[in-house]
Amino acid sequence: MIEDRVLVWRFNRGDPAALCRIYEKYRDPLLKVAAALLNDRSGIEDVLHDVFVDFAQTTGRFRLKGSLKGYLSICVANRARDMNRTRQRHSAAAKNVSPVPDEAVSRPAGSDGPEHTAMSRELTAKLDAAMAELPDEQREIIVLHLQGRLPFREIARLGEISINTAMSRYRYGLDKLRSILNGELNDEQVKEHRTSRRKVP
Amino acid sequence: MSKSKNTERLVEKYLENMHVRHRAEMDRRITRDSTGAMEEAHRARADSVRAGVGRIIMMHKTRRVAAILVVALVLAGAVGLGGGSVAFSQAGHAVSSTLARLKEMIMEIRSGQVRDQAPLPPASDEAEEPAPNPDIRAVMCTARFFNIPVSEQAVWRSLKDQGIELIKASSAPEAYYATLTREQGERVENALTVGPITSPRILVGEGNEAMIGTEAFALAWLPTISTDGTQIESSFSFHDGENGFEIPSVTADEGGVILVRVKGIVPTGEDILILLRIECPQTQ
Repeated sequence: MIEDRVLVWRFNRGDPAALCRIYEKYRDPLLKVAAALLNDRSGIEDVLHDVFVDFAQTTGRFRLKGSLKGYLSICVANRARDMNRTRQRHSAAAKNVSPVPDEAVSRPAGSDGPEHTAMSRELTAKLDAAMAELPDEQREIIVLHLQGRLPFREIARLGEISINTAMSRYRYGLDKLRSILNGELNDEQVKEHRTSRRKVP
Repeated sequence: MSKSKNTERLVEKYLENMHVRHRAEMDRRITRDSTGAMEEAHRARADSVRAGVGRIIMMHKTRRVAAILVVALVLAGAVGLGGGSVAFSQAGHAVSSTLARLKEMIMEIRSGQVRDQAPLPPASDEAEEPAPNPDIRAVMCTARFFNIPVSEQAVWRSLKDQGIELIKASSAPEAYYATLTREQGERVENALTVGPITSPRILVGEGNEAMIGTEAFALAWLPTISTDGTQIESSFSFHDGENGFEIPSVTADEGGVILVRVKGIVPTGEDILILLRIECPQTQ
């Protein structure tokens, strides 16, 4: 927290090293947020590029309220939403983009053999497809909360919505995911998920 | 596990397992373009305010002195003005190990290995004045440490009477804080029947972290000032040698007071009360 405040102070004084440090520190979590929110994952780098160039232009007047990671995550979510809409407008086919992860996004192979890994990939593909079906606002809250680890209060404040709205969108999103996945997941996959959960320290 | 919770865990795991590869070329492109944009924006902003600020500083003697003082602070670190059993140092780079450094400091004080104070800036001489840097502002914190006996209830009643509620900052040690206006701070001090153990003052450039310690307690302070200079946002870290806690972001009006109450760290059962008056010398 204090390191971020010093970084922001230096950033506001025009120190390029501070901006680079902020980028290095939050690049990976922001890439994940972008990957989870974009329909077309070829735009991940562009999203991050635009967010950091826009952020850089606020030097000298940027006031940090809450966490820097939260602020940047919301910026990524906003940019990803804009990009999704732009690409949908420009290409009718974009709506039918395959949700299968592209080369930039990977999943670690399971340690329980190829059969287990193959099953994980199948499950992942179903979740990719289910997430892509969610409305943007529900998907954003789910990703920011579960992946960005942002509390609802911060998501609500940064997104300029009420905390009740944020929590409702999250709940509706999960309900919708459950209904999409209902019937898609067989018993073995659910069992696999539960087994793998127990292995997480 | 409920169905809803199960879905939540499933999605959480799905997101956790997502790994995005980044390319060195991407890093280069983003850092190059963003630092370029930052430098351009900073240059444009600095150009637009430089003339006005410089004129104000050179026209008013008090502000000119303040500007020189700030430069001295940046060069020499920070300056401890207090007396008593106070050790003081300034950390150029605040890092997440603040609490560890505070613990180290308090241990050094207790073992008699007190660090040297940062050197005082030389007496200013008209001919040797460094160029004023209007971009960096100084902030002063006057910290007053009190031991509050169990029987001393007037100060807590004074808080209650003024409608001031303490916010819990930590469980170990049990600590609370509140933000007071200048007037409220004065009323609290008037309600005290005990004198301060020590009253050090810290002067530091905004964005710098200063550390101050006594045998009982060490604290780190990192202030930033609002653009109009009327509010100061501070992050405090405290350590008693065994436990530490942080108040990450508390905003006070210029001249306002941050009150911190720490329970259970003095063997005799007394509370520690710390009054931190935050001021901007330039505005005085």
